[in-house]
Amino acid sequence: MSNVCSVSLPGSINADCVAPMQKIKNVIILEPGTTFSSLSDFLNLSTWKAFVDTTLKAWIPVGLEGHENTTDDPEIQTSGQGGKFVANEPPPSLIAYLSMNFCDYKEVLNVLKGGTYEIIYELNDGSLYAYRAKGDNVIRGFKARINAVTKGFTDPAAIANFYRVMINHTSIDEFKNYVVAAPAAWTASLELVSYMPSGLNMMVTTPYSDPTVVVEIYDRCGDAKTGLVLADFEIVETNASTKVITGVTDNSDGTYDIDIDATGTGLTASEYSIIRVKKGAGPYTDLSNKVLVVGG
Amino acid sequence: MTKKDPKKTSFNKEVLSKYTPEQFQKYFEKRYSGDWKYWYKKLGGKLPESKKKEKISEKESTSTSE
Repeated sequence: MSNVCSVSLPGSINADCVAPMQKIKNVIILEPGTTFSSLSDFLNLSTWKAFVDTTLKAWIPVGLEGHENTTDDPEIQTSGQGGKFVANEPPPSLIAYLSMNFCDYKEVLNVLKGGTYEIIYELNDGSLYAYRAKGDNVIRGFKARINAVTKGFTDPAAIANFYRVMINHTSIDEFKNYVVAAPAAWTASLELVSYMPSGLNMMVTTPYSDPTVVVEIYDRCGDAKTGLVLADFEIVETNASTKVITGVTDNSDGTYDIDIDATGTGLTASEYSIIRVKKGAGPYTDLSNKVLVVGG
Repeated sequence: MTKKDPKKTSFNKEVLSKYTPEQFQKYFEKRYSGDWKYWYKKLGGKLPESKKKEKISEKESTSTSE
């Protein structure tokens, strides 16, 4: 095993193969801890599909309009003898410009606020760029803090660059242990995007009044969404342990009356529930933003 | 708030059937029109039997346990 001061050179080469590293075509954001057990698992579409539409561990936008590599240059210091040495190796960072719409981006702004996720990049030739620790078969994404930060206005010279997401990786070491692998029969920006649940927007139109809150739901940038039933809603979080959704009335105009109750007692003033639409039984076909319902 | 037609509502049968009649009545009458007893039974709730029957049941129950 080589140590940090090893002077060994990398070793052999494949002289017939010169393949430039490709540009980034898309970003796939994973929940922390999401892993692929092996290379074949990593290239298996079924595994990915489940992450995208059933366990909801992977999120992929339609694509990228472009990206900027914002990684700092390493700090070069000069020693007392006049020689130079590398004092640090900054972790990679970039700004990704998503192909998106203003409705989806609003949700992205509300969600990506500096939390730590793991990212796998799709490159222009369809290959996937990920991290595999030394001596480990498990493949995962590169850890990063992600912030969606809007500048509020488009740049007149580059209006496609409005939907900005800043990706700041936390470790350079992961990038020294990368794996680039191309799925043989599928590409992320085609197949995985098609498995993404449709985004719905939900907002409260009449605040909670025991036992009912009225919400309005529509397809992002689209029409009012009708036809949802009780099974399509879920309480994501609550501080009222026994409260459940007991009834959902479709008013046929995109509004729904949702009852949150427990044995005849609704949410009290100090209680809240966060609800969302999650249509389907895995795979999910529609998924909405989360809405806070405060008792009263 | 205008009372809603329960026919247009999808109810949580599993939960509401476990409400006591009093609890369901309180829940239902807050916002739905119609006969709460009908909907309680439709959702799988069990209304108590008449008093006469209850007495008989109690007697039967007592004798059974003896």
